[in-house]
Amino acid sequence: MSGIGNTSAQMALRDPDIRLMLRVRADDAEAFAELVERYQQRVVGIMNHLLGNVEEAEDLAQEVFLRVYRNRKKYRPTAKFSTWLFTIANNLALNVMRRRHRKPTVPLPPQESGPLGPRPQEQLAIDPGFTPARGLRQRELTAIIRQALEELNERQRMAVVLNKFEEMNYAEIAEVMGLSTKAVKSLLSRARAKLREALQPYVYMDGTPPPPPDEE
Amino acid sequence: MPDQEEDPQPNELIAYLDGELSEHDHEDMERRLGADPALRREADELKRAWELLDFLPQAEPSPAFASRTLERLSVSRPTEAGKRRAAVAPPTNTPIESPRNAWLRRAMIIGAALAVFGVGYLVPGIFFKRTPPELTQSEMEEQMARDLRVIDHLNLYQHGDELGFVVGLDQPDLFGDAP
Repeated sequence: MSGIGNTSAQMALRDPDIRLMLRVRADDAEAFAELVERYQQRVVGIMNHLLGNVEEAEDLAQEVFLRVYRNRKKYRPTAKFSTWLFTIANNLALNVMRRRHRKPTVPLPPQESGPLGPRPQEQLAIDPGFTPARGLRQRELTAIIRQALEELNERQRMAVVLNKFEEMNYAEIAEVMGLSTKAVKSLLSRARAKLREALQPYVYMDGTPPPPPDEE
Repeated sequence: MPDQEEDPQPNELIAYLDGELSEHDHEDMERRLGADPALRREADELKRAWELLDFLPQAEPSPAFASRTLERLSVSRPTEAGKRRAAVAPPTNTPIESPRNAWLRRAMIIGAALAVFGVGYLVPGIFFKRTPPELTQSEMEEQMARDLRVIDHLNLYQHGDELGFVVGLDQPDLFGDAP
């Protein structure tokens, strides 16, 4: 392990992912295949949350692994392997989302909602007696949540996905996204405020009452 | 940049929900939540909206994802030609080629090309070399007699550029006495 400090060496010994990546760096094909197997679900999952399309998510996830392999000689076990992996994923995903943002898709008009019929927001507008508990099916709710996520800007979405689905803390997100912890705090604050605003009609749909205003 | 503008109160509330506040700030936020029903309601809505994200389905990679990824790495190798060695991940059961093996392989290809050249060019020369048939003394004398006229007039023949022209001159009509 020449060129790697004692601390890093100790970290590598403890962390099986780092050990695996060090084998990849030494051109071990089996180690790389194992790495793909181990991380494919997380990377595809993250990309799908960011892009909302499984095929695109898989293509991009493949590109992430391709870059991991190409850059294997540059890998230094100074941080968690997943941080390095998700830094690559972040760079690729942000590029794709920005390109998409420059060429936005044209949304269908409301009367063309498709086989599911009117969206819940539209239903609420035309039928005051409609309640989420009665009329909202899970896939419709999923579509609304998906829409709320897509309305966040690219960096907010990335921060949300890493925080929510990868359970990364602010410092880890900051490292992956190349930002300060303070900037991540601000990103997540704005993102969550937007999500709350977009999803407000559905937050109490399970019948749980909101907290009473004068609760002790 | 708008993402980085300061907006302290919501930042603190969300950091509280995320467990990112220091012990002192955490206690301070709990006091404020206890005293402010609107803030409490806001925190509850933020928490519930966050939990709604759990409804999003988790994408499963297709069963062939890993093998397709490894194949794609192999296929992409030629486009990686450049200063650094191509980063190749061949199929799982195929070892990644080391630089030493790559040089060995190139040397073997060059060697094989030279061997094919040798067989194709040199060997026929060795085995199918045309040696003039050995003539007997009488045959040599006969050939010289046959070519004697040519040898005698060689200085004249040298003026003709083509053999056909010289042969064409061999007509008595051309050089006979004028009628």
